[in-house]
Amino acid sequence: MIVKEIMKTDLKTVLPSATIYDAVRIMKTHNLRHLPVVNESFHLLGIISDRDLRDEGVDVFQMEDNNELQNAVATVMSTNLITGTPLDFIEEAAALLYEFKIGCLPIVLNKKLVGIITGTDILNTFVQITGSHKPSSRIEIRIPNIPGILCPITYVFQRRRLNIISILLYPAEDEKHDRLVIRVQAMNTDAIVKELKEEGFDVIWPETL
Amino acid sequence: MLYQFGPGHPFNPIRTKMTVDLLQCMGSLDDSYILTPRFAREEEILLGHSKDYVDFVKSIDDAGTLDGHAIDEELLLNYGIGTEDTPIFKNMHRAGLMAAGGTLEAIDLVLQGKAKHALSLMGGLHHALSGKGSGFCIYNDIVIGIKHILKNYHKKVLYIDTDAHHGDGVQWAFYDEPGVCTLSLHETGKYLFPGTGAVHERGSGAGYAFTVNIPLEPFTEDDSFIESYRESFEKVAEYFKPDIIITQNGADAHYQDPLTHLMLTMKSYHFIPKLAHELAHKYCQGKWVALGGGGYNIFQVVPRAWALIWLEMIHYQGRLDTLPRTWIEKWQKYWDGPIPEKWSDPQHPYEAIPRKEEISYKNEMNLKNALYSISNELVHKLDQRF
Ligand SMILES: [Zn+2]
Ligand SMILES: [Zn+2]
Repeated sequence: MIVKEIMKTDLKTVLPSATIYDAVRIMKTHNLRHLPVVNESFHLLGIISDRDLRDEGVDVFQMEDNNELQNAVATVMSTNLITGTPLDFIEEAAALLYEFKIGCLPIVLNKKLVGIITGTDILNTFVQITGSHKPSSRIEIRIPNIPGILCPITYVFQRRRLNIISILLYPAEDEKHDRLVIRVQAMNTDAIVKELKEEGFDVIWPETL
Repeated sequence: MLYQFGPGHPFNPIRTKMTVDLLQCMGSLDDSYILTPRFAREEEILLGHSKDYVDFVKSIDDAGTLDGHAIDEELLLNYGIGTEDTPIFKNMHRAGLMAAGGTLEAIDLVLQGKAKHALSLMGGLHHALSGKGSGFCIYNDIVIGIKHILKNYHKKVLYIDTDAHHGDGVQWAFYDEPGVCTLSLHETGKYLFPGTGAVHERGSGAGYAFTVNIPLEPFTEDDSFIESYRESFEKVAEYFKPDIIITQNGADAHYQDPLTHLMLTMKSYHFIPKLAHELAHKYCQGKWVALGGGGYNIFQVVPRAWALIWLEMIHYQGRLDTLPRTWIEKWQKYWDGPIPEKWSDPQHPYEAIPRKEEISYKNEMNLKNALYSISNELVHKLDQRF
């Protein structure tokens, strides 16, 4: 999956000449923690984040009689930005957010701001990937970490004409094994589990006492 | 007995026959209380399903097979029919009409004041979706029944689902409908079909906070289940103040059920209808429709669990100790395993669950989390709306 598929494109932005007061108001109204600063051609110049504002000592609760809020956003925005492109893989975007401990990644194409992606968007995608978006049952198998092992497993599913909804493969406790989580579009998994066991696979869910 | 997927399929209509027979053997079911269900009309089915889906099911109704039909695999899969769960069988459209007809009739009896309580064990097919069969269910009689109530009676419906599987079809049908509150207790979707039913699924739009989900950990036992059920049902009934209660009484959360990993005994199946009955009288002048649902240990579990619903409905006062000898002997012929002799299960029917404390604690936290939002949201919303 690439960034383009999940990035937010309905963007709120401000010009560098806007006041901090305006920026804070937009952020509060739309419940945003980051606000990109762009010029008239939508080139990305900087970002204002609620964290930056706090660091600057801007008290958003004392909005009224605070002269500092009349300063231009250009005076407080971060300009040393890490950006992504629409074609980045989501895992690359996630790695950037994680590595630089930032909350959002502006997505830029030909200098223009085209989207934004936040940690929440990525988390949401992860929930989608690992969860069940269609009625399905979970089967978990402990498999040896050897080439071609998925083939005999998926063959069992094909033989029973069972539709696989999602597959997740991650390392087991030891290096020689992996754990394979398959969500299958069926309520009754008795027959498939029995066949998998007969073929010698170590089915760890459904678990029996 | 039209709803028949064929030999070897866990969804077996003998369950209903055995239940009725058990009640008759003990002299607790007078013939005058048994009604032959009508077939639902097609326009009633369309309350809950898309036309193209119904037409598709109809098209394979007569043949009962795909022989001679030029139906491609993709179409079948798209409609969730002809799968391992929901295979094609003869009369499948008419079987669906009959299950829905039974539920509609039960609802009409209760809402027209002809009976306080009604039981339709062929109903309770909670997985079917608007345009798709799913999890042994072709037509969703519950969705059809509730839509029928909204359309013709304009009543507030509390739907409570104690099947071990999440009541997804019903939840999604009324996800943004504030006149219907759905409460489902089920083995967590992290482990069991259909995968949904997390605490955070709370409804949307005007229906926000009218969907309540209590996921339970695998290997949940009686005490933790009863506590979760009692607390959530009482609280939801108190805030929602329903006009009628519809219960889906799937009996597949029993420790002997082959498809799920919950560990209830008959103790829970005694309590489930008891509380529904009590709350129906407390909030709805008794208006209570109970439906069947899942339940795949058909000889040892389902007849006992379902008979208890009826016994509760007729305010049965007798002692429930041993099952009628005649009944046991009659049905023993059809099965080579042991048919239980008593209404209750043995004291320690299975080995102690090692993670018992963690399981109960996790359930308690889920319950708290699920009810937190309704206690705040429902009060506020109901004040505005009703
Ligand atoms: Zn079920
Ligand atoms: Zn009563």
